[in-house]
Amino acid sequence: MRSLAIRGIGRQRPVVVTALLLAAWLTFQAWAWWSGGAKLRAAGLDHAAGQVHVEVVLGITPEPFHMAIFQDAGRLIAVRGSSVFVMDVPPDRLRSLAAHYWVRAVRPWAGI
Amino acid sequence: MAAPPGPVPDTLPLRPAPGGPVARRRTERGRLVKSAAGLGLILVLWQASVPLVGLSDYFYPSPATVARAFGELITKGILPVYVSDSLLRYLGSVVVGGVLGLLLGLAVGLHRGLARLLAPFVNFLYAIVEGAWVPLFVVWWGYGIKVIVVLLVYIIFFPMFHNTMVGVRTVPQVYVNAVRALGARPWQVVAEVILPAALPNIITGFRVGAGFAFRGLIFAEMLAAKTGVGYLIYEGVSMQNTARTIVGMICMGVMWLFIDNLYLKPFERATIERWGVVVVPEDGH
Repeated sequence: MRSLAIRGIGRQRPVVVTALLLAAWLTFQAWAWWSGGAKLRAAGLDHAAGQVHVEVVLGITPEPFHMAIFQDAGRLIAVRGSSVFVMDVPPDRLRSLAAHYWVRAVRPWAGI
Repeated sequence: MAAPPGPVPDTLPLRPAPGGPVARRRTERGRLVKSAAGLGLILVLWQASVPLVGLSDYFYPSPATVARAFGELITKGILPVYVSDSLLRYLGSVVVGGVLGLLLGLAVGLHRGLARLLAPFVNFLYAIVEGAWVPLFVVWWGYGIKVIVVLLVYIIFFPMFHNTMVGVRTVPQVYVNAVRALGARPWQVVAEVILPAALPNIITGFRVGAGFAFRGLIFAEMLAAKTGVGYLIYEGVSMQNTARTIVGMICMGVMWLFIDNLYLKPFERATIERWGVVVVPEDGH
């Protein structure tokens, strides 16, 4: 009886595909969040209490799309090669910044 | 001429019953293979035509260039954000516009006084193309998500409103009277008779509106957004990277196929079959 009910739901393609997409999206978000934490831990920034200045090392050449994200996170100071220097980044923004898969590493920076 | 009756064979060949699940799966697989072959042929012809045309990537990018642009947009994290932004805007607007159109269509369809009051104004608004509103919306809310959402709500509202109203008005009065005679309350008449009878019209309105809204989404994002597939199409040309524009166009087509085949068509099939108006064939044609 129970298996019949499960099969009945399972036969509805929209439900199955939506559930699979949702599961894939959630898994990706969880992985991104975890990897963001790992990047911050590696740089000793995981317990930053206040705003910090950071150098964000990218695995790509930044474009206006990325610049908008950095400007949203803090004060964008400079771009040198694949490194972006940002000042006054709050801890929550730092975590979500590090969670992007195109961010290779986040390092503390003395600022200007 | 009828065939003469012959001896019945001991064993029957194992053939799937026509219209059975096995046959359906085979037909579906055959259709997929044909579609993939057609797509492959187009790609080969496109790639082969690039040296013949002899234009630069800016004017006539090859499939390989487009594939590279696609890979770059994924690697840079741009495409996933643009696609999800577009889908969220679209979904939110379709829900809001659909519900508003349904409610007002029901109200106007059921109430003659309200119809006389609102119908001329709604008809007047229906005649104003959505593009004409854009400058005014931008003045009111500036460039951004509000303009896009309001525009899409406006686009989906009218087909939904109009079809619901027509559907409600064309319900034969004899059904309504029969249910009333059996002691049904007004909300029961609406829920048990009017809504089911108007449902094919409502679903048609929803599908038409959803299609228009999808086109409107791309148009609105070109005008008033800094993210989204429409913006990608526009930005590609302005950055002299037409391969990205083509990636945006392909994404737009794939998104629509996905929405239509996965949600709208099954929804239409299920609701129409459920209320016994017409049986739509399995392939949806």
